[in-house]
Amino acid sequence: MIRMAGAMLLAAGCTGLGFAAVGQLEARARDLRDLIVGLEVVGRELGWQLAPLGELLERAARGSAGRGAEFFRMCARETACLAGRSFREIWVRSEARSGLRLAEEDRLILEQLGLVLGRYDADRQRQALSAAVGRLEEQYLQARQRRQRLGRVYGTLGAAAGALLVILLI
Amino acid sequence: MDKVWESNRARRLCALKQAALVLPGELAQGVFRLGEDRLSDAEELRLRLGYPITVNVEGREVETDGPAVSRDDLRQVLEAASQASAHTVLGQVRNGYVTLRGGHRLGLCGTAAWDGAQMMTLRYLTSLALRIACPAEGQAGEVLEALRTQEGVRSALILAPPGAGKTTLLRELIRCLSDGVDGPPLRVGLADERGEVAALYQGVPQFDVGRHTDVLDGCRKAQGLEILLRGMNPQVLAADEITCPADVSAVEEAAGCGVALLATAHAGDVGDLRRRPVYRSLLELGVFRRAVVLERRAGKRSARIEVLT
Repeated sequence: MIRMAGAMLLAAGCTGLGFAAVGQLEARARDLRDLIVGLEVVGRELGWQLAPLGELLERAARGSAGRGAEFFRMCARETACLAGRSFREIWVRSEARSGLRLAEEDRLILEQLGLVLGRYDADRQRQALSAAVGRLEEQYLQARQRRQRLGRVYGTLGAAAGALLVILLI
Repeated sequence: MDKVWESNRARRLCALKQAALVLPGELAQGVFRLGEDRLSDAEELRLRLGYPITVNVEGREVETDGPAVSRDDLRQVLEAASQASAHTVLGQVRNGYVTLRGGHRLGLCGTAAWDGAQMMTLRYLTSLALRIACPAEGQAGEVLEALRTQEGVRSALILAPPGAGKTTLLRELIRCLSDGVDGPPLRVGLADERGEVAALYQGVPQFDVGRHTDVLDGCRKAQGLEILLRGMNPQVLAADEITCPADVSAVEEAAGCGVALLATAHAGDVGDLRRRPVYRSLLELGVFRRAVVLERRAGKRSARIEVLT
């Protein structure tokens, strides 16, 4: 009986691991989408009102959702009081603290954008924003394709590994 | 008297602490090590590349024991002053200053970068001057009395050399007229081209200019006066530093519409003003009815009123 329960637990664990891997793929795509939505808000508002960056980021937070919104909110809050730090530091720190689930190349795009935001005239910032959004959209499409391609594989592998363990143990 | 003096010093110290928020940590610590007693009289902080910050106390520069100012420090101060929003202050940077929260002013110096005939920005910053704003109220008393009429105010031009307190007096007059001190409150339209009178920061005046004052800043005076006249139906129009023919014609046009005018000009006295061609028509047309001449005698400022028409 105990053996049976152990085997079932292992099977559930393996299946869970498979689904967790699928969840990671899903989460990256979701966070990328939220980031893109927020950055588009920043670009639009920058072109229209030339409002200060803190205000633009606050609006991006309102227009976005999930961890993307949290990221923009953190940046906006800290930009209001730089206290001797540069905006780039705040941008990178907020990205790490907001728990965005991004791949290394996504982070790189974001970090490069942080070097431009708030430092140049509106046109140059808009160009950088639109380039970053374009690249993030590509990453988002890839992430979705990856989710579709690998999602089923990870799910099936997890369940199959669980089943195999049950067979081996029983 | 001592109480007023103490409260002014406390206010100045508070203003300095607010202005110093834009300084990187170590530089700020160097400033504060000078002690509250000295800092209560501070008027300005100077950051020069390669040297420690100096604090301007009663006209004398006192050096702090902080580290030497680096290029990164200068850049960081400017970034903090603009709240990481270079695009919002580019116009000001081109004019050589940035207005901070609290009305403090960061003067900029360095190598100008040009694109054709237009200055784009400052490529290399070499020094910054952080002027601490500390509004002084209650200085318009006698002048206000001389300018007030039963229903409104007489048009007046405030004259003084640079640094004599023209802008401060103008601001105080605007506040009093707008708040209804010694008479009914008046709608004042303020064309604040350089942002020195109201010091708008993200749309909020950092100095009290009264509750019936409409401020238009970041726009050329001549254009600003026209916009205010057309859109805001002011009873009084105010502008700082009438300097060029375009300003003069805008003022003349406004006077033709029956609006009272308050303005300032760089001049020692009325005679000095008459000698300048740009102001001659203003005087001949009788646009201003009074001249307020600011003088400084034995370290004290006084105002003399001259009747023009």
